[in-house]
This record gives sequence, structure tokens and C-alpha cells, in this order.
Amino acid sequence: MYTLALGLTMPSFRLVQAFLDQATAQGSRSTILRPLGWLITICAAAVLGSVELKAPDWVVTLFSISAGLGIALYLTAFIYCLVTKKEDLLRSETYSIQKLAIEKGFVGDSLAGVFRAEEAIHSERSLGAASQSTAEDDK
Amino acid sequence: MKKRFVVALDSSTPEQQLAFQNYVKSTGAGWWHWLDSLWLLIDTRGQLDAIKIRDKLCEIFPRINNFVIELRPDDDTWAGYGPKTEVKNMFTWLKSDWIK
Repeated sequence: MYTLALGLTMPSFRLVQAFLDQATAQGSRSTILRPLGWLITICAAAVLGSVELKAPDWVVTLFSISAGLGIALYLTAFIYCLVTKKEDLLRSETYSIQKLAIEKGFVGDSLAGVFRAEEAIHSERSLGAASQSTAEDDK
Repeated sequence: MKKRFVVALDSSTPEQQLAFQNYVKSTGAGWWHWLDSLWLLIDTRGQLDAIKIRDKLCEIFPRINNFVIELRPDDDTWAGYGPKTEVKNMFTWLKSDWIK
């Protein structure tokens, strides 16, 4: 029975994993509102589903309250970002990186991320090498 | 098979750098760009080669000289774009002295 259950769940698991891999393939964070958007979508779908399936009233009420709270939280976060001048939080990381790159040029790598070229020039520097023995120059 | 590349350019604008970064990200390769007009790429999927990268560079950085070298444990390979006349030829030295 366990084997059968495992056999049925494995393709689904792979499907979910593939979806998640695809979702993160771009390698950039979304806006802070994106998770709330998903929460609202899921709650709204749950409300519609529970109504369609004629679920008990308390289930419909529970999902409705969750959806309502999600919407309230979404609006609160949105207004907070606008009032406190944190509009960048409403923009995706991709947008922010592109803005940064177009304005000034950039340096960085796929691990550390992107920095303004000017910042790199003025930041503290030191010697680096693949091994300690070659960390110094040959003078 | 993992592949490593050094990409050098004569000059670049921030917009072109961004376009190239987007291309590298779309291939899934890791990148290092701490020096102006120099990129190190690591392609863990083994899809890229020096010629493909050179052609992309010519598309993103039109009329800008470039040089791509693939670092291999046994035998390096390279591709580039630049002067190639009888008097001024950027590839002569590479072919005669770099890889003998």
C-alpha cells in the first residue's frame, strides 16, 4: 500500500519540483506583494471551491475570512510602501537590477549579485589569489 | 560537462553589459564581472562554446572587438572578433604563439 502511495505521489512531487525549478530559474526575487497575491488567489479559489462543493458553512466562512485578511494585508503593505517612500519594495529585483545597470554600469557575479561600478572603485580592496602561496606578487 | 570561459571586450556600455548578463542568465551559466569589459563564465550544462559566445557578443556589442577563450584542462580553445587584415591582424599571434 505504501509503495503504491509512493508511486502515485512521486510523479506529482517531480511535477511540483519541476515547477519550482522553473519558477526560480530567473534567479531573482519578486516584489513583497507577490506572496500575498498568491495567498489571496489560493484563498479565493478555496472559497469558490468550497461553495461549489457545498462544503459546510464554517469552511466557507473560514476561507472567506482568510481571503479578506489577505486582501487587507495586501492593501496595508502597498499603502505602507507608498507612504514610507519604499517603492523599490514594490518593484521586482529584476527591475531594480536593470535600473541600476542602466544608470551606472555594474560589477558583480552570480553569487554576490550586482553592485554599482562606482561603489566597487571606492570600496576597500586587498590582494586575492587561488592559493595562499601565490597571494603576493613576485617583487 | 562543465565549461569555463574568459570573455574580454574592447569596450561596453551599461545597457550592453545588462543585455549580456541577461543572455548569460538565460543560459543558466554562472558569471563573474568585477573588471570592466571582462567576464568569466562557468557553464555547468556544457551548452556553450567559444564560437556561440563570440557570435552573441557580436550581436550585443556590434563592431566591438572581443575575445573568448574556453579554458580546458588539456587544450584551450578560443574565438574572437577584431582586425584581420594583412597588416593588422589580431589573430596571427594567437594562432602562432598562443597555441603551438
